[in-house]
Amino acid sequence: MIEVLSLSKYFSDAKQQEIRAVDAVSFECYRGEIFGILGPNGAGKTTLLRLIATILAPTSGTARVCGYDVALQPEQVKKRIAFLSGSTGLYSRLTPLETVRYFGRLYGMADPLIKERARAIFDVLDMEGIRDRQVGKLSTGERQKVSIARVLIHDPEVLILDEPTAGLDIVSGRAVINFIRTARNQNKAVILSTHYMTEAEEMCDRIGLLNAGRLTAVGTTGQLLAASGASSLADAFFYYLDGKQN
Amino acid sequence: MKLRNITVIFLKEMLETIRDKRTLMVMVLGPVLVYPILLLAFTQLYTVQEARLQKLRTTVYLREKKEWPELKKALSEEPDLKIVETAESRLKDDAGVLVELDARRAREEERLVPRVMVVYRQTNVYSERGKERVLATLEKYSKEVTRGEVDLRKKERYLHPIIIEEKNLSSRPEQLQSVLAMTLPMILVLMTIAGAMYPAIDTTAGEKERGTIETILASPAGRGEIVYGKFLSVFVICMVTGLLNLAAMSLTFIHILGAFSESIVPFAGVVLVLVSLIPLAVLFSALMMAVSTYARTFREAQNYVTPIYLLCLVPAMMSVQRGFELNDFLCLMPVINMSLLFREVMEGIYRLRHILLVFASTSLYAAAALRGAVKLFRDENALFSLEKPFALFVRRRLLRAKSSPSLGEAVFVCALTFILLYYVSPALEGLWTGASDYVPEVILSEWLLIFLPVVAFAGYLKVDFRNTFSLRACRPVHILAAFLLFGACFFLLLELSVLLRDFLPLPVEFSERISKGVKEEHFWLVVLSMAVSPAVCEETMFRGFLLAGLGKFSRWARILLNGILFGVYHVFFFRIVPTAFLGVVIAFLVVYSRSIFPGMLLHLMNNLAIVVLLRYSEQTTLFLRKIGLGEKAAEWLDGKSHLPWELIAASAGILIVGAAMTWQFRPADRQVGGTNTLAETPLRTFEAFPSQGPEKEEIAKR
Repeated sequence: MIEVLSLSKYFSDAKQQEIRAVDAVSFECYRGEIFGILGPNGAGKTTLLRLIATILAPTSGTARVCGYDVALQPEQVKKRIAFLSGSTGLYSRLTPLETVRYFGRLYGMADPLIKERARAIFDVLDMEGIRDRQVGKLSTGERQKVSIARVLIHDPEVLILDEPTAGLDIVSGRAVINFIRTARNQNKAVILSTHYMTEAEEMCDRIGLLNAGRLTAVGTTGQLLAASGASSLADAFFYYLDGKQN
Repeated sequence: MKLRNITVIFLKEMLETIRDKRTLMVMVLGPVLVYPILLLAFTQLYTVQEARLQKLRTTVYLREKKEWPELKKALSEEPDLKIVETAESRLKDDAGVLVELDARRAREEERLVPRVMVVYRQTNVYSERGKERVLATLEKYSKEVTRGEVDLRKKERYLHPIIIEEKNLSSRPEQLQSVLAMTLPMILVLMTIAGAMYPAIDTTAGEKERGTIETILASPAGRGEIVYGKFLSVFVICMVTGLLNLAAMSLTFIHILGAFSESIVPFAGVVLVLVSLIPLAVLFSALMMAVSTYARTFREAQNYVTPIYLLCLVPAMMSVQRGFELNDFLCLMPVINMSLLFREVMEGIYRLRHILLVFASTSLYAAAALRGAVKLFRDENALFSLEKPFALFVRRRLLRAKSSPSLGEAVFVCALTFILLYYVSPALEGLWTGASDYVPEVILSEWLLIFLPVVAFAGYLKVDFRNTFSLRACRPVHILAAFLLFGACFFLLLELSVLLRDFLPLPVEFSERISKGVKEEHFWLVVLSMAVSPAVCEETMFRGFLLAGLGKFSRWARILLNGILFGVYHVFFFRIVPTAFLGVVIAFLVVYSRSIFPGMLLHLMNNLAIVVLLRYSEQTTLFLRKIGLGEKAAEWLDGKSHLPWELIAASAGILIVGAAMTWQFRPADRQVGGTNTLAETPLRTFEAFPSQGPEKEEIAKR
């Protein structure tokens, strides 16, 4: 479903030194699977997800989503993905309904279909009461629901979620986790990034450890623990982190 | 590119705008409030002025070519008029009125009738009011005479007791209209630009700040579609602002003129202004969007956009400048052209040629700005603000060596040296005095205020000098090319100066000051100041540091931008265009030879030729006469007459040959990785006929 092939992204900093934000990363994510990317701040998680979501162009390597190349057919890729991150904000002067309609139209959907999908999504997320209020006046949790509604409107096959629970309280966080699990059960492919070990352990079918732009290990929690001989994911993480340094 | 997506984005942006109070304030409240306030203020000022005028007596200069005691008595008895007898036929007092009494034979009659000539200035309110008073008095007198003596035999006298003639010394007949015609275009242009400002920032930098940029980028809308959709909404808001301003302004205009005068702006004029507003709105919508795209936050964008707005103030105000008329050249200057065109229309002048030129040139700039905006939106460095601002006030040891300066650093150096030249070079005048204060000052300015700061800053930044300043040996063929380009440019620049002369005349003091310095100072000192120093110092900065800093642009963009900046650096209108032309040629030579030395050579030869011609003008004329070219050639060299077309064609041909040589024998680009970051850094520019370093302009200014 998602194949990442030796994907790299280099930036140059103020002194024009090369920074390898993502360095030759390869992995796959299948249908009905939640693939977690675990890494500390600045590891390159957001850049990696932006590359897969075609927001940034790779320096080298590529990724294929549903068989479409992110560099060559970005429009086809965008139609099939849902991209949600800390920096995908919402238009505060639009209402949830207008937001969803706007993106639905950009996905080429007809208005009656948008209406039908929106009603179903609002119903599931329990948003009927807020659909006509301007987003700027909603709470953080309510806004996250609007974001979820936005990414689901076109019934995407792939979800790319960058720290979807960051900054949310436990109730809103739970709602997000439920939505991710539902998506997996609907046989969608989900890639999510996080720096919460427990969240990764709890939700992800497989985990990739990302550090300084490089993927140091990939596997299920069990595999990672076994290979590293650690008792917790956090220990395993440090095992691989140190391993690279040594 | 899908029209549907553009429409969807456009409609959503409009919806957001309508829900935004700040935009509505600027767009609607601005014009709706500004013009009535303007009208009220104007009316009140008028009333105050009127009251003052009522109180003041008019001085009437009475010149009696023939005496008419009755008339004189009538005028003297009028309390508002103060009679001063004069023998002069000229009206020297601007606020007064000259009344000339003469006699003329009335029609079909023997008898002489008084002829009164009233001379006044309409542009002076006091004079104009005085004229009205004089006329009223004469009228009164005339009626009394008619009433007093009823005698059929003297019928003619009763019908024409006096012959009154008026003479207005002011050239503009409609004072009030001319005042409004001057100020309103400026306000309209500035309000329209202001209308684009807020939405342009809001849809780009504002979107980044609110974190919605990634949301829209992740949607299937293409970047071009996003830009066009956003642009359309900015444009519509800008036009609506302009339209509301125009409507409010027209009403105000009609109101004021309807109350106090007789003529109003024709409807066709309003329509014409409206149509001309379209390219202006496109230009500023796109320009401000492009600039704001660079910013991370709304505030940062405001910081970028405000200087642009301030830069527009001066050209927009040109409409207020009396005697500043629209000509073919000014038709090509953005903002000034629109401002002056509006004034012409307001004054009831329609020149199809001007309208077409203004429309075409502004459309061209608008298209370029829009292209730039789309390009920036595709550039992820700009879009995600990945480039860090340049290093300044950072300890040097914390800086890492790099191959070339950044764009920000290059622009900073240009601004710094410009400021230094402007403020410090006058102070250098006393440091070292030779036969003229001009020559030493140029040398000091070039080395201390250009060369030294540039090299010092480059050292501080730890840039690679060889790469930044293109300190590479060049191929002999490029030396040859420099000679060819010099020859071609010399004649082309002469012709360019002649072409521009009608629009932008060279101030006499400017050329006198230069030629005085050139003639009186020691020859080699002149060469050092006017030729060697500019060639080395200015090339180091422009084709060295600046060209390297422009590395992120494509080659042609770098060459053009470098030339334009070089021209603008020379401040005066009459120097900008020729200097920019020279700049483009040198930049081309340096980019493709990958060496700064041919550029320095070209600059040196260009300036040297000017020095020699200025210093030895008599000898040159003699020489030319000897070889049979005589007066004609001397006129060419003085920039007094057009060059023969054969010479221009030959120069253009040589220019092409030189450029082709430069390009054909360009060294291979040794850089790996393709992008043109450091490889062909420096370009160089050269200067136009009697221009040298920027310091000279500063000097001439004083």
